[in-house]
Amino acid sequence: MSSLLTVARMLSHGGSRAERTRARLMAAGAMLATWFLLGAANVLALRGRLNEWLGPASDPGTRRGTALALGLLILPVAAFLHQVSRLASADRERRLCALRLAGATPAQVRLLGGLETTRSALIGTVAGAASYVLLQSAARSLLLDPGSPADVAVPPLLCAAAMAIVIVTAAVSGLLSGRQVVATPLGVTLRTARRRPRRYVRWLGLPAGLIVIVVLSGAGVLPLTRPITTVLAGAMLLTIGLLLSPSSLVRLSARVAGGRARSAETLLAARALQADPRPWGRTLSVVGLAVTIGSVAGWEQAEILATRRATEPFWLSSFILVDLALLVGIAVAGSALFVHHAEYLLENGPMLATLQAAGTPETALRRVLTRQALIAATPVCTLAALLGVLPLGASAAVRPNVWYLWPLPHALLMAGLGVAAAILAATCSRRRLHRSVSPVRLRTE
Amino acid sequence: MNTLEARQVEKAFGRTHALRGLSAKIEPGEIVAITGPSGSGKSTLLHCLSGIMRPETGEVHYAGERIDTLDEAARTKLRREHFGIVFQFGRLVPELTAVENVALPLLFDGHGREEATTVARAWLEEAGAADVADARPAELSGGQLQRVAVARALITSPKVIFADEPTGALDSVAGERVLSLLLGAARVNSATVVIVTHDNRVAAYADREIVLRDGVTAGEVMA
Ligand SMILES: Nc1ncnc2c1ncn2[C@@H]1O[C@H](COP(=O)(O)OP(=O)(O)O)[C@@H](O)[C@H]1O
Ligand SMILES: [Mg+2]
Repeated sequence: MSSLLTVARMLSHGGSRAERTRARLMAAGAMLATWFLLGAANVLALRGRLNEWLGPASDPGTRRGTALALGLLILPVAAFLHQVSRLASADRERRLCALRLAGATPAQVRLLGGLETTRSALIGTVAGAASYVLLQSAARSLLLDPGSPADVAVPPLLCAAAMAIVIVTAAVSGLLSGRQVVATPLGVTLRTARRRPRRYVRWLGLPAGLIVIVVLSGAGVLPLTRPITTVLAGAMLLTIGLLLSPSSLVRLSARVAGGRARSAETLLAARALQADPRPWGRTLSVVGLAVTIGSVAGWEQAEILATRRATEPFWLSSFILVDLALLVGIAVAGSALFVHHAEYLLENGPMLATLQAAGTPETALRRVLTRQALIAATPVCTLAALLGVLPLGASAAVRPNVWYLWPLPHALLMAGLGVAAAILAATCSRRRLHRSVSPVRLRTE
Repeated sequence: MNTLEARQVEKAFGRTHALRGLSAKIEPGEIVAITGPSGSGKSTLLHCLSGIMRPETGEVHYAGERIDTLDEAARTKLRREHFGIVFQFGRLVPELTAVENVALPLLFDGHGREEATTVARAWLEEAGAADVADARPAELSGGQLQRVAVARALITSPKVIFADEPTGALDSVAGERVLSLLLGAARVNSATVVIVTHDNRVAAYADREIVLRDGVTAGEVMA
């Protein structure tokens, strides 16, 4: 084991640029996950009624729901990490072969892969916990008078548990992802290369949707006092949304766009999406979930404003906090798209450099990236917003006192934010694109 | 006229001096082979002549105009409108079919899809690859890939065709076909051909052979 650690250390020194980026992004993801988990633990540790501006965290009754919502922010982080783990896979595979050639057993190679992931997770988690505890204690001493019931630290046990969760999850997923590659000394074969999801996986959507509803209402996030039909309709539509997996929606959208493409940019974008819609589907399902929840929240907000004429701090800050959490979710998922662009550019660098050498302007290649974002994100976000708006809209028609002017623009705004995040990710990839099409990439070994 | 000329061109990558004050002049319609041992600067010279790279010192002229001082946008436009470029491995877009790959330059130029596709099919026919028009690159053999890549380079009727080891990865029969396609089309358009190769049989087709050694011309062989 210790000799394996030595090899791991040697390898991490000699890693390529892309591999170092991968390790850093993994650590960043682990850090984010740690923050959200510690935040949730922190909310759970609060006692008694607190200042209403703390929103749902101020009331013991909504505290568990708040913690759960914070915990749910792990979802976009998971999507991000999954994308990161695919980064630089070509480099990694080449290295795995070299290791096998040098006499490592398949199990050792797999263990090395797991070690790398665990190392990044460890660094990220420790940095995350340290920065959280520091910032939080600074905030407490600056903002709160000692003796305030909000003046609580994260209990050490919960803190350790949160860190352990992140590290163990990373270690296990690192080991499991190694299970799919079979590194022989002669080359890597993916044992289950790009396997299509099994038929039954599609049907998991139904129970999953129901479980989500039950858990959410149990945790006090969804008021069960609402007409039961609303909840049922919502559950059904959510389930349909989960069934219509975004990957197939992205593929469909790409096929239509590719068929009608008038320009080279659209054609290239659509065909690239059609060939590999899964990373987009995965990420956009998280974005879509945030858009749906945001649209539902819009109705919720309108109804509360209308029925209570409430401008109470509790509700106002609840609204703001929920929207903020959704925004964070969308942003994190959007950065997963950024990572996907990096992988796409890494893989297709020589091809794009050749197009550029043949006289294709770089601006046209940039448009390929933004069009990918548009083609993939627009249908998913639109559907997600509709899913959030329709069932509650139907039930609100029975109760005409709901203020319509808010929920519809709110849903539209959420969908727009989802698409904007995808386009922003494409825009942020420009510098990387510029590097990928440099003539240096034309060299053949 | 469309003369291509490098004057005292130098280009270094870090400490490696790929070109050290190289000069060469290529007349319109000429077929020139650039040969020399591996690492002698052949590819670098091709990249400088075609405006893909800018040399550090020296000048590159095309059609009486200095092109190494043009900005990236202007050189891109020049390459698109006047040059056709073929590399060792076709480097086609993996997700597009052969005919779509060939149509790309026209599409980027703003031509309609139908028109671009029709012209692309005609070029594939010319290249003897009509039967694989609707196949994707992964389904093609090395020779077919290269013929599609040549069709893509020729579709804009370039004045100069640059090719970097276009037959390097092919067996002799497939290489022969690619080469005769390239040279045949060049002759029809009276285009200039600059072809980097280390294959003597390829060099034999050329009007002239420029031999490089360590980043300078080590000699010339007239056909
Ligand atoms: N992008 C690059 N980075 C570093 N060195 C390079 C680069 N491109 C070429 N070289 C070096 O410049 C020299 C000439 O390369 P090249 O023009 O590719 O030679 P040839 O095509 O004749 O084999 C070689 O020593 C090569 O290693
Ligand atoms: Mg070369």
